[in-house]
Amino acid sequence: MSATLNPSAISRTRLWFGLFGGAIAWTAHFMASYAVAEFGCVSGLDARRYGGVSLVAWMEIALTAVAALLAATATVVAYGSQRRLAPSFSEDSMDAERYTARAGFLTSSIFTFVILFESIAILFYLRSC
Amino acid sequence: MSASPESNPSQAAFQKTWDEPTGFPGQLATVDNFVIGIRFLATSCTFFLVSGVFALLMRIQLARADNDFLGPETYNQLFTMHGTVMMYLFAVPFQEGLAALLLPWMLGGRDLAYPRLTAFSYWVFLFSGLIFFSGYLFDQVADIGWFAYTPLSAPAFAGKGIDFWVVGLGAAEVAGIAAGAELTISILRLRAPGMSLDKMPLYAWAWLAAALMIVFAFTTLFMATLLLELDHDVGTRFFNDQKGGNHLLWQHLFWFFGHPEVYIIFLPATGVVSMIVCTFSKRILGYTWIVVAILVTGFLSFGLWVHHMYTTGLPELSLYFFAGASLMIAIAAGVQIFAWIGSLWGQRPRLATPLLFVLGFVFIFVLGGLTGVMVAVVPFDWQVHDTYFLVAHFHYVLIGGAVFPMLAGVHYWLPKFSGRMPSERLGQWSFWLTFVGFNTSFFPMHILGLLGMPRRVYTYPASLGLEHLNLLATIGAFVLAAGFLLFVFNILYSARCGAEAPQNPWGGDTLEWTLPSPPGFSLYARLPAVSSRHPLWEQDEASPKTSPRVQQIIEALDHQPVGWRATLLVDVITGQPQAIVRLATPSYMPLVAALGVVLVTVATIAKLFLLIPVGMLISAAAFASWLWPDRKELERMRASKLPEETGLPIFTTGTQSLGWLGSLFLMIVLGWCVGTLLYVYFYLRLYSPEWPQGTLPLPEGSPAGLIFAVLLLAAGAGGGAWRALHRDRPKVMLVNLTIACLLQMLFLGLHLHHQTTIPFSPQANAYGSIFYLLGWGLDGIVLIGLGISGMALVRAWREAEHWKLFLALNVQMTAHFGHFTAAMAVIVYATLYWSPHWI
Repeated sequence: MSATLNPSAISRTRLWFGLFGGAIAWTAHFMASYAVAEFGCVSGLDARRYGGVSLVAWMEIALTAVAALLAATATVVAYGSQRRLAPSFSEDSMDAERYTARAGFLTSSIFTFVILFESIAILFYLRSC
Repeated sequence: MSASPESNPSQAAFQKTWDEPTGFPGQLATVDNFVIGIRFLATSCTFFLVSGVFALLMRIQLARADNDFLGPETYNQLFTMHGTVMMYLFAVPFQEGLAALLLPWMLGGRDLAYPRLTAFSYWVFLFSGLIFFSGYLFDQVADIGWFAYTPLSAPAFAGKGIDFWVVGLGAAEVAGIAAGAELTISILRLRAPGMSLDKMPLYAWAWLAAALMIVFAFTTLFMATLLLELDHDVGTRFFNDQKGGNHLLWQHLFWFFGHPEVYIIFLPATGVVSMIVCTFSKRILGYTWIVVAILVTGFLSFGLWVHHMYTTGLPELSLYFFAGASLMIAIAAGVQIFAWIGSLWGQRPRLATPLLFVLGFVFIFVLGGLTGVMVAVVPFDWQVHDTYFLVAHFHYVLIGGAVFPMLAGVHYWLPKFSGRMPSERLGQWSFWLTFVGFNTSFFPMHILGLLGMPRRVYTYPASLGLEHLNLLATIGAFVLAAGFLLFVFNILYSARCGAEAPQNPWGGDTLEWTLPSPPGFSLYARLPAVSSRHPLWEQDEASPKTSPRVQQIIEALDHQPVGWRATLLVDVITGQPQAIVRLATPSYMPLVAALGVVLVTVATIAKLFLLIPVGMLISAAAFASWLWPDRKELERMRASKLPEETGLPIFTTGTQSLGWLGSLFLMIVLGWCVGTLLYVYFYLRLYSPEWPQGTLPLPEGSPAGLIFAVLLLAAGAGGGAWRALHRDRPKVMLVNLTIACLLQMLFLGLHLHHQTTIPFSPQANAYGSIFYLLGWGLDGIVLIGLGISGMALVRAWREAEHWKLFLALNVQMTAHFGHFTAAMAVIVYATLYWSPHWI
């Protein structure tokens, strides 16, 4: 069982990162993936292959890995904050911060899933656009 | 938690402080959120009814095959105006009006954060609507659809009506962006003490997401319409394929706005639904899940724009990213639906009219959502694209997802607005007419689409066998119209002649139901404290679970302050009081600023380009006047005992100041404008085989680099002024402010001169167009910065006694805006002068 902490023990940066880290990772991933697909496919980057996989696909895979890692980190951070802010603590401000951490855990975990779900398409376009 | 100002000795003085001017001229200056909210609702409803008549005319035309009731030109104008008015002049402004009315009451603040901005937003919205419709006076009505695809809307094909469409829309976007920024800051900062994020009403959560979406989506559209108008009036080539432009660029920009727009309309409506479901079922299940669904919807909605462009030949891989996001967003919407159904399940709620409309919404929106999932699938969309299936789908989403909740909301809150109960019998009749009429009208359109009937056609041959279903749709449209008319009659009649409403007729749980019905003196003279998510159900007024400090603050602010308007600013997460902030008083300046905007738009339409700077000057002067602090008010604030009584500051800077938060949003909007132009730049670059296009030379960086460096020096001077203020060195501050202003003026002069030496014009090709526009954009930002620092400088010259207290915010804004300008200068320079050498 985690020890009960003072609200200030969880920094605001951790709370905000937990709440919006996944969403920001998704936004960055989505825009970058779209840009790479549009730019790479139009400019013919998909013709370059490494290990039988096009450069565009490699770039998309790398982007997905980085973004999923960032979103997963935000999920873990939010989960950690939620556990450290024990519910038995009755101060109003503590409820609010724990709530923020919990909402962050749910939001960031959903965005981790969305990043991976959207990237399934890459597997069908490994050789060309 | 009483809201009434009665029985307090200082009531008269306090009420005088908040009194709004009376009489006709006074009404033009009012900043009362109640009055302005009602104006928003009435104006947008008027537009809705006119646009509804347009829809009926179209349905009459389509009722029979080979019909000649309307000609093709008139039909094109009608579907353009119908879509445009419904999307821009009804759906969003109506929701904004409801929010302006409800949010201060619901959140426990005394008003929205920027009352004058609320007034400005309304005036600009009203005038933009009038500009839209004024095309009829000159027989110049837009006929290019509400989406205005290029090249149809480009100079080569569009008639004069496009000007009314573009500038009217541009003005409406300004109104929307202003409202979006204001609602965001109000929700985050102006809440009752104790109203932490976990206790915030779901309506506020929904609006928080929608308001932020407005800021980004509307700004993108504003830039898109600016590019289109420049193509028309200045001869730029952004959408001209022969000159290096790209007509698909418009679709990207438009739908980057257009798809979030659907959720901007939908999310506040879900907020209304959550409030009504909670009241009637006496609970709300899955509060946190609903909040998460709102946040997820807000973000994902920006990843859907290409699903309107599946048939435009984009690379397949990119299509599937958008298909993935389009499928995922359905889950977020589904979470909310299940939460509402779960909340109502087994509760045996009374089927009063608001709940009936909510249930109608659930039924219709689920159908619209299912077809939304279908069109998110790329191969299916290829089959039904531009058919009546799409018309059916988006009407199910927009009328089901937004109009039904709006009607529910008006019925639900009418007792609070008017003090009268709506007629239940008329309400039930209007619901069933609306529900049956809607489904009769729009369900057959799914089948018509699958049978191959294309959208936007003014007639069809009898041989296609589409007549019976079209006739049915037309009959349904008239039944739907009867339902709407009965609803409007019920509201207008009941607001005057209905039974007297008690304070909380539905047994609601949120703060607005603590106000009398109608509110009369429509604010909390004594601020409420919140310790529960359902304050009216779970809080014991006799022993509220608030800390002694909060109680002390509430006591001190009871009917206080007098002589200046103020409310509490709270911490974003915990809702704990952090500062006392001044709110604006009535002023004619919002109207004058809006009239300046009108002059700019009218001058654009009439091609009287010399009047455009005049209009801009009028608006700028009005803004400066409305932002200029009232000296007497400042003195009253300084003399106030509230800081000692509450332990809260009055003169604040940074995140605890509404002025600074406003300037932050200004920077976000301007930064997004620059970001949109950068997207345009690199999009055009991507599709151009050579860059710079044609025979244009590569830009030389050295002279421009020196000019742009001037802005870095100006930022340094602004920062120096802020540091000098901290170190109590007024003369150094004054010198730094002077240097900052002079350097910004120097930049403008040098940059304008430099542009005369560039060996090509904005009309040369698309490269030339975006090259100049990025430069002009930076000039615009510098001009705004000059206004901010100039205001600080003039005030610094005049202020001798309490300079540090009164000037801190102004000087801080000068410093921060200067840094922002410098950052934009570096980005613009790198794009224009470096990137062509290596991309």
